[in-house]
Amino acid sequence: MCAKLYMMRLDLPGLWSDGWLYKEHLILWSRDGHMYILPVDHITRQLRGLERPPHEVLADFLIFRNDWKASEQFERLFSLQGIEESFTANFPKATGEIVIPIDEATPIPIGSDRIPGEILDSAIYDNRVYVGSTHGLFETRFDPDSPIARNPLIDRMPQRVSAVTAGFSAINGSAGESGLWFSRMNRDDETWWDARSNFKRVADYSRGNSFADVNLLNYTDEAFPGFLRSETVKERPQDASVRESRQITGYRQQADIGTLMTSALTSSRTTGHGDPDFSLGIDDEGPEVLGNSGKRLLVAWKDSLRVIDLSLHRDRDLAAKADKSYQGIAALEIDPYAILDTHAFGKSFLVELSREVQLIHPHGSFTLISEPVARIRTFARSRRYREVVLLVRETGVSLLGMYVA
Amino acid sequence: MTVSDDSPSAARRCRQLGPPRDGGVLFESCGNSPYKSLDVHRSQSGTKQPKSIWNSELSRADECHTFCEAELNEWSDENGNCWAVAKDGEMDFGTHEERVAFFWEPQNDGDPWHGFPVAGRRGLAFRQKLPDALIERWYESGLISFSRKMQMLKGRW
Repeated sequence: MCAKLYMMRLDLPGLWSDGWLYKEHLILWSRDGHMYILPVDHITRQLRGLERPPHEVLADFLIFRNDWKASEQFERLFSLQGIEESFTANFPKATGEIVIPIDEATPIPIGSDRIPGEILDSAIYDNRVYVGSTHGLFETRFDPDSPIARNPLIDRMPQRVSAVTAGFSAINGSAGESGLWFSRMNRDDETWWDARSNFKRVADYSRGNSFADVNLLNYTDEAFPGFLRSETVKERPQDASVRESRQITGYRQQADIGTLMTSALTSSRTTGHGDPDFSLGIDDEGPEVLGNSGKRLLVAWKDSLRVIDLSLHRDRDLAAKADKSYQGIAALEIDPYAILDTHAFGKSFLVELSREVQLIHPHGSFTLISEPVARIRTFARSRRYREVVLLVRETGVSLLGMYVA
Repeated sequence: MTVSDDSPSAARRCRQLGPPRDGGVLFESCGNSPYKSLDVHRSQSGTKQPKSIWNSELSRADECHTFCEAELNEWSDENGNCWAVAKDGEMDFGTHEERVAFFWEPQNDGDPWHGFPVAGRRGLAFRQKLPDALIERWYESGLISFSRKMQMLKGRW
């Protein structure tokens, strides 16, 4: 593997707790739980002021219009001789990294109530804002057309909620020993704050949860996450909505995928992917799923990593098989047991280690930053920011966009 | 954790009570509690739980002193078990970058305490819950940064 990472990082100072990129805004929470917004054009304005036009263009492709980079047009253009070289020539040769401090853009406070407790996770979806904290799960709204409008903050659940996901018109909250909770999204835009909370418990225990396509993985203390197959209905998408055409109406009973996963790991041993470690017996030290990027599951096994793909077609059984694009992953020098957390990042994974953040890509692993971070936010379900990373650091927030050549 | 001889706690170091025996080394902690550094948490060969081994650069006396810090500062949970944290910048407690240690409260009077490095992350997840209040205390006292605090609150430790 001789791939190289080219990265642009924009650093905004401040003592922040969490952040999101949503439509044309950067949304931030201060450490005392107050919400702020910063229009993206306030950031790009400063890039323009640097009188280095390529940086503004790079920021568009890598961060603010990340959907361009993922487009077929971009891919076809980059297949032409010399285009990729011209693109990467804008980065410093030695580091491949451009770092720009953004110190002239000031986030604007929103007068909404502060989030009680310490913010543990958040999700923004279709102008709905859900925040899990040590004191519960809270809902507010964000209207990109009136970004500084004050909205009520409604307490939806009293339990400590460590992970929140929102998608397919559903909200899922992991509340530890209180379980995994699910609610259909409140579609009322008028008096939504008056609507009663209708969260239902769908699993007894949950440390975290993550979408695998339209289905849900529930992470517990077990080696494998529980698999919750969703029940859905179709809706006609509206032009202005970010909602998908399918809406989750509920989940079937949590299923154990341990046997399936173990079988996928052992069968890949027999089919052989050029990995000598597969000669070791699986019973010596069992595999454990560390996290997922959509339907790709990152697995720790025998002191190395594997990627297993889950597939579920309508009315068929769940299937699992080794991901061929990650055949070389077992050779990476990453201690799987040093991985603190895993985040979906396009078709790749972002892994958080104790003192650094790494990108695990089919072409290798790359260090994004060498320090502990308070929070890593990726936007795998976003069209516009699909391969953008937001890092909450000790004294600021960084936006990272990258290109692997 | 390393302890320099001129530290305020140097006079309260653990005292070894004899040669290794019965699977460990017995100490008297600075709080006068018996503490046993168990062989099974000192080397991979001594245990079937290879994920919970003290960092070899941390001596048995330092291991006991880690317990002392927890005992003296009353870093305990609702069940009476003690927890300790590696101060930012100091060495990891465990061989898999564990930065927290856990000490079981003895079941019977006179039994020694014992402890080992623990982590909350997947792959190593320890089933006892690290109390939020302890994390906040460690942060407030400057032992851990905001980033470490958030990692711990989220179970990424």
